[in-house]
Amino acid sequence: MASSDLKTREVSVDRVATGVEGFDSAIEGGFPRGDLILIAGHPGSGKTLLSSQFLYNGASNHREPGVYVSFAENREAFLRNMRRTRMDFEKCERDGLFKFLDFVTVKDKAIDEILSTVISELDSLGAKRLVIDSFSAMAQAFSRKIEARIVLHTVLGRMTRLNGVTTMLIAEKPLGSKALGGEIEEFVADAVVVLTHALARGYLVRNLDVVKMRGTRTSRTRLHYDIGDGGLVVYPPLTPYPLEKIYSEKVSTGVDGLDKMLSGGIYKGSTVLVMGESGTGKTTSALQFLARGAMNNEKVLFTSYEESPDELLRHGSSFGWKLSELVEARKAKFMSFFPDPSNIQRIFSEVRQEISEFRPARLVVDSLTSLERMMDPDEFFQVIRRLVTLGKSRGITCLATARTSEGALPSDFWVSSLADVILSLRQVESQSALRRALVIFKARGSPLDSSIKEFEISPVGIAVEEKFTDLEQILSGAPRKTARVEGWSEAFTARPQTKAGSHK
Amino acid sequence: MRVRRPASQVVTPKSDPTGSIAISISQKLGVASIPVIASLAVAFGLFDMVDGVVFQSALIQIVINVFVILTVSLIVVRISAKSFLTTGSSNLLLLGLAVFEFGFSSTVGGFITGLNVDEGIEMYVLGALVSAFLHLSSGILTYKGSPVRRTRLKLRLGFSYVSTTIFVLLIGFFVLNSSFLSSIGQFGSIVQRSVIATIVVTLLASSFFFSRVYSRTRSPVLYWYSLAVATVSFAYFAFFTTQENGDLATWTGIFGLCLSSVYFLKSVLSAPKAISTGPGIGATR
Repeated sequence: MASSDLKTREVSVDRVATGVEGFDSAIEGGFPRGDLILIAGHPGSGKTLLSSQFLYNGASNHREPGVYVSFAENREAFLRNMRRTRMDFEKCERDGLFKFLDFVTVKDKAIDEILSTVISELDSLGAKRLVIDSFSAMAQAFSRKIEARIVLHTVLGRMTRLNGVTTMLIAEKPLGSKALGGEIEEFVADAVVVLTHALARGYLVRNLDVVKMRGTRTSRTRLHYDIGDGGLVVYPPLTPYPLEKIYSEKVSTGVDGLDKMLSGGIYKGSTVLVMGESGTGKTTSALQFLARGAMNNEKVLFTSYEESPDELLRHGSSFGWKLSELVEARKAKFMSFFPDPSNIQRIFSEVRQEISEFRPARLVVDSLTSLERMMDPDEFFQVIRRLVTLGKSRGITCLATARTSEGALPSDFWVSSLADVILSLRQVESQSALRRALVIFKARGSPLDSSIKEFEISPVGIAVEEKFTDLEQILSGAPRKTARVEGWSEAFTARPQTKAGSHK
Repeated sequence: MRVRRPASQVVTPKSDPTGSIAISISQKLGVASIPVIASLAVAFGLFDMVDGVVFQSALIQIVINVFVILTVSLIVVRISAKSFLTTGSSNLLLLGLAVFEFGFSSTVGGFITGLNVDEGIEMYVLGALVSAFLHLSSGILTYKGSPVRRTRLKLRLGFSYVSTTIFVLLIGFFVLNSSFLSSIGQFGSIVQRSVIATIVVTLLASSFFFSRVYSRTRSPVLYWYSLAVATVSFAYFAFFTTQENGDLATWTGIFGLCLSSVYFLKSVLSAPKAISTGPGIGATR
């Protein structure tokens, strides 16, 4: 069989956008028109909001009429809640684009009547979107499960497909339950979207899983979302960027001595990881990297997860770097966040947007440790991978700092293998004083000086000095005097033996 | 867990299976060189066994002074200075100053010899005299137990070396511009013989103190150091017997100085390169 025969043919599918920011892009632009979609979720997870956004987007942006069948809340409560999220359904009603059907109190014998009312309203409105909130409540009106299945298959399934009405069924998923709804709808539905929330380090984290979606390539990773003033915002998955370019041009780290150790600097688009204990000069090195770039007329972006922009500007000005002027000249930009598990995706979204708008040549992330603390290991790995590929794909040279414990090695910071250059800063105790050591563990594709150098945080920034000659085992975290000096010293400083000691 | 070998084990020479201290062949050969130099000095200087052989070369002396004596002295100075900064022990500072003084004044003396032989010798001898007393001070302190400084070590070190440099340059200035000390440069003069004899005795005494400490610690560093100082002493004994600049006694002395440089270097190299036998970096985690 010819290989071309194996290629999948792209089939054009008419899609219905939900209008939920970030979600449509994760499902190829929207749900296939006429699909039956099950939205299952925990209480308070935003099921009603998602389905309302789906209807409102259709009415206000695509002039597609929609019907909301409610078994949960009455019209007044619904409209009041929607006004808080800036969705004016009353106007949609006036324009003949929206109909709210209130079935809060439903009886067993009334189900046929309800269905015919719904069908009638759909026809009269020419509706293209339908929400049933919730099917779990509606299903209680059926005496047997088979009846609910028949309704789903025949009435809702066929009706919506034939008329091209995209339907959302809301299913209530009790907290702690693994089942999605009434154990029927998930098999009948064309798409199943599950909204859940969980506590992570004391913060509520919202997750969105597209469990099933016929005819659509969806993200295989869990999506996160947030509920803001404008409704649901879904954050796209942190997939790596495609690697298209390889840069052979080198850029300065901002520290001349370090550039020399790296045979002229670091490759453009590479990612530098600066590891070190607290107070070793990580932020200073990051600011110096940034300042050098800005002085070379490059645009630079500093994202801090520990300090405010004002603190960073003051930090920089203490070394004579006029960062405020660079900010005013729009060459440098400082962003500051204090991440927690509930806002971390929003932070990434803001940074991503800033990168696309500001188009920096240099990016600083200070520090990864603050992010790592707030994320699952897998997610953190994806963040780092995305950062690394971001640099490579767009030619943005990235510098990320990471706080490590005393004597830590790159292997102790488990994502370090993704970095192109690993620089370790150490504090070394010697003669009742703290000295600073610097060593390059790794520099992909570049010859490097692997000696352990002493450096100083001078009034003009980090200055690399000579390599340590009087201390050894610095990397072990327990530095000691060079053996030859020690051996020489001991030979000449052996204390005279006392008579009491000599006969022992 | 880190395993550290006790420091006393570090500086102790290899023991044979019976537990007695083994002295290497090179150490034995080193000791044997002393009577050889002494014998040659006596034979060539006192008994004129090969009379009339004279070879003078200021160039060779400059080369030896710069590339052998000064270079080796700077190596010793470097390790002594670091040791002083590490321990604050005064004997280490004095020892470094003694070697520096000797190497630097020999170099200056070598250049002065190119201008005037007597003045050059005057410079050598005065430099060696000061160096000998510094060595003796260091030897005594090493033997008796040196005071330890705790503060301003870098300042003390810098001040000492700058002072010594200035002092040597001042001696050079006086040697070139004053006849006050000129008798020291005159061969066979009583003054010269007296000064050189003082150097010989002082250096021997300091070698004795270092060797006493060696007998206590069995440190190869001290073994070679005391031997080096003793060899300088016997080299000056050869100069003591010199009848004429460039005779065989003079060259015996120069040979002795070169040999002492080798011993100084051996002393530095005897300090162990690596002390720890503990696990590698990864294993310390």
